[in-house]
Amino acid sequence: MKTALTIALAGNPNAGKTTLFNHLTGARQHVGNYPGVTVEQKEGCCLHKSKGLRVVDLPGTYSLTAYSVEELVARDFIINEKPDVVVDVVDASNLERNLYLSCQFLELGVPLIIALNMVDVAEKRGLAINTEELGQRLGVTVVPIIARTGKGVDELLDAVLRLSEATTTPQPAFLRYGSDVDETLADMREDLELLDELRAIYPQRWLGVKLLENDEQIVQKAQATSPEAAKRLLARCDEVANHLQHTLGIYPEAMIADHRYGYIKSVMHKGVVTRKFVGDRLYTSDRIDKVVTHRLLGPLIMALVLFALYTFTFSYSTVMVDWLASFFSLINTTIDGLLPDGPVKSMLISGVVDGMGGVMGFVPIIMFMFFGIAVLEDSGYLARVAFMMDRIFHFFGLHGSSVMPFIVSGGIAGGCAVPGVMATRTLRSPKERLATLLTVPFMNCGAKLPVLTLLIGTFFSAHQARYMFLATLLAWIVALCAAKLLRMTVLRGESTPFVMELPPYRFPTIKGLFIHTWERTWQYMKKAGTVILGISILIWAMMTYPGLSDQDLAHFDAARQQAEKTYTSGSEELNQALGKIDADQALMRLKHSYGGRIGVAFEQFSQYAGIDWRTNIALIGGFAAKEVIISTLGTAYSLGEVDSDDSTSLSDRLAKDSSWNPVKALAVMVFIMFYAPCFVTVVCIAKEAGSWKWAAFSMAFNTFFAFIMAVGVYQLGALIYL
Amino acid sequence: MATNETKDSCFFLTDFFSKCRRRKRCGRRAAQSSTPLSQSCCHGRFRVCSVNGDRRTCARMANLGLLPGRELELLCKGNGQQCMVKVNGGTISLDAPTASSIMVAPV
Repeated sequence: MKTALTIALAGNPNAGKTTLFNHLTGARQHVGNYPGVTVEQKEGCCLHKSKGLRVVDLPGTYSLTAYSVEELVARDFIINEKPDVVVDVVDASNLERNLYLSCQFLELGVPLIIALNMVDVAEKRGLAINTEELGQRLGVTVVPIIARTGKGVDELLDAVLRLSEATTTPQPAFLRYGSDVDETLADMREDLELLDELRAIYPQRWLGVKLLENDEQIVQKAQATSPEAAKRLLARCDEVANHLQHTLGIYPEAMIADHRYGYIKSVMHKGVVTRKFVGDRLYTSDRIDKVVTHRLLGPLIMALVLFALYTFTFSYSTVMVDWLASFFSLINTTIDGLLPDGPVKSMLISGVVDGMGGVMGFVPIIMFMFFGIAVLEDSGYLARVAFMMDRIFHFFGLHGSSVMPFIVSGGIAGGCAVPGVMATRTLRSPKERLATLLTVPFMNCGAKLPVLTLLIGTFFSAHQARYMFLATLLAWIVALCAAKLLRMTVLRGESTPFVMELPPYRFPTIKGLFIHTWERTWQYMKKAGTVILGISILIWAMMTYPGLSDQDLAHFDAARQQAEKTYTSGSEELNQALGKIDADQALMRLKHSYGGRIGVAFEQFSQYAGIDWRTNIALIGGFAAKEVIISTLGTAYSLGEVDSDDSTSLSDRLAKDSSWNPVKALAVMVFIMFYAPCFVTVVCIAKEAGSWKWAAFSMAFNTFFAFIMAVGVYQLGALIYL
Repeated sequence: MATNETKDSCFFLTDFFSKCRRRKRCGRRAAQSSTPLSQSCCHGRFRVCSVNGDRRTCARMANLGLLPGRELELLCKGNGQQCMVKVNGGTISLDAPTASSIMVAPV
């Protein structure tokens, strides 16, 4: 038995659907001030007047014709799932454009309510909307709301309940599309009646309109239902399309769209929308755009913004990073003092605290970076970045829509390749999509960020922001060059057009910024406390067992006895000799462990890039999750240490280690930036590409590419500096 | 007409020389019947004369309100590359191939 009412939130991109969804369900779904944030539908629940409501947030669309994945997802849900009420979220400050979709809902005959969102913005622009009159003319209820503050949302839900209880079924609206199209629709009636199966799902006239609009999905369904009738229908559609092309130079869909806009204009005039005052033709947003997206100034401003982001992140987070490092150091000292020597103590210090603490120590940096990105995203600037990058992307054989997956994956450092890979769904061309899928993991995701920060902070501490900026730039260059290479070889093909609506600039709300920052930081912390903790303990075990043989232990004991005989008791020389024996034993124990053996086996190749066996263990662990690199390095270098009383940070350990130098650090950074994506990303690539072949290609291609780059950097660096 | 043209191309104190030259170039193009949107070198209002290109592109443009006879505001000029236009109250970015398929004339 169906108990909860299903409400579908539909509307144009940036109309405020997700904001309303969050307000209704109390969810903390990510709201981005750029199109394409919601590619899949999201669900939540809420209660209104003791009635359970199932709320579904659909992707933003401009039409109900299958031109994009978002449009298909939204249309399929509305038609197949038949929600009790469709709430069309309409941007009141941009009414004409938004009502175009409402018009198509009316043609489809769904139970519709219009939520007139952002009425405050419309008022500021001098627009007064008579909602009652608008509702009467459209034949649906129109409720003014402000989704950000929740104003009018209760009234909206009241209207939803009233509509769901109504006994009458909404009928599809009958719109005129001009004599040519209308006559064709009349001629098609007989053949449309033969499509019984489709008529049970879609209104008959709507089916005809979609066939005239050359909607791929409907054409295929019609051909599958009745091939003969479909053949006649499509022939009639072609006939009218040719006629319109020859006489007016347009396709039927343009004619239909023109009449829809005409209908909207007729609805809006005479008292529905009035201007209280004549505002500027161009709004502030447009004026800002003229400067921010200027051909010369735009890229300059973009570079400055990114540099400012890094400077902000590294300048203000350092104090908190130091606090956390001291905190974990204190925990280590406490454990060391409380527990007797043995495997439990070793696991807690080297596996848990050094492993997890290494990752958790970067939480402040991650938090500051995410806050900065949230400001850029919520203000609408990221969409402008996409606009400016489009030309460059086009040159490298990618689509303008590829910009967002790149940014989501860490184009401004701190993203994640998994949602980035998933965001490629907005690309229609399979080859452009594959090229994007395979190159987004090159971006500096939030997991690589701590590793880069650690190495930059240790070896290039004087220019942290500059090096981080260069790392981002390098990631972009390499990803784009790899994309060009792929598009010139295995993924050769034509480019497809890129059209995107840019959201207006908005002041980010403090609440929104904190939600975004917290949700991403929490994800990072959760991962550190669960998956990474587990892997850290596993890697600790791999680096601890099997222990040294009795023969080896006896050898070190003998060396100690020999030292004690040689030097006088309590002398400095004796302490030094014993310290050296202890260090040798710890190193041999690590090398003898399972992890050590794997690392040593790979060292014969990795040595050309200056990467030692201990780093190899970390790099293998990094395949599970890139954050593990830090924790494994922490464990590897703390296990190699002798005196656990002298607890120092990983950064200090690496700086003191004779095998590390700036050139090696640079080579390791390059390898980490570009080698195989983490396991979750690989699974995602396989899922999105529809084949494990591409996932395997991604791992092999990236690792080979990263190795060549790292070897180049190390050999060249060694030649010049060492 | 000739007098106006001479007046427009004059060097005023407030205008830079380059700005003057650009206006002149734009003026010449505007005098022609229609130009591709991507080639429009001046900000301002334009009327869409036709939308060329493949059927899908035309349909997408139509959905966004870029239809023959409609007016648009060029916010970020193309100069042969991508451009940004304001149409029906919304700001749309168009890549170079798409912008070149939209023929416009100044209003």
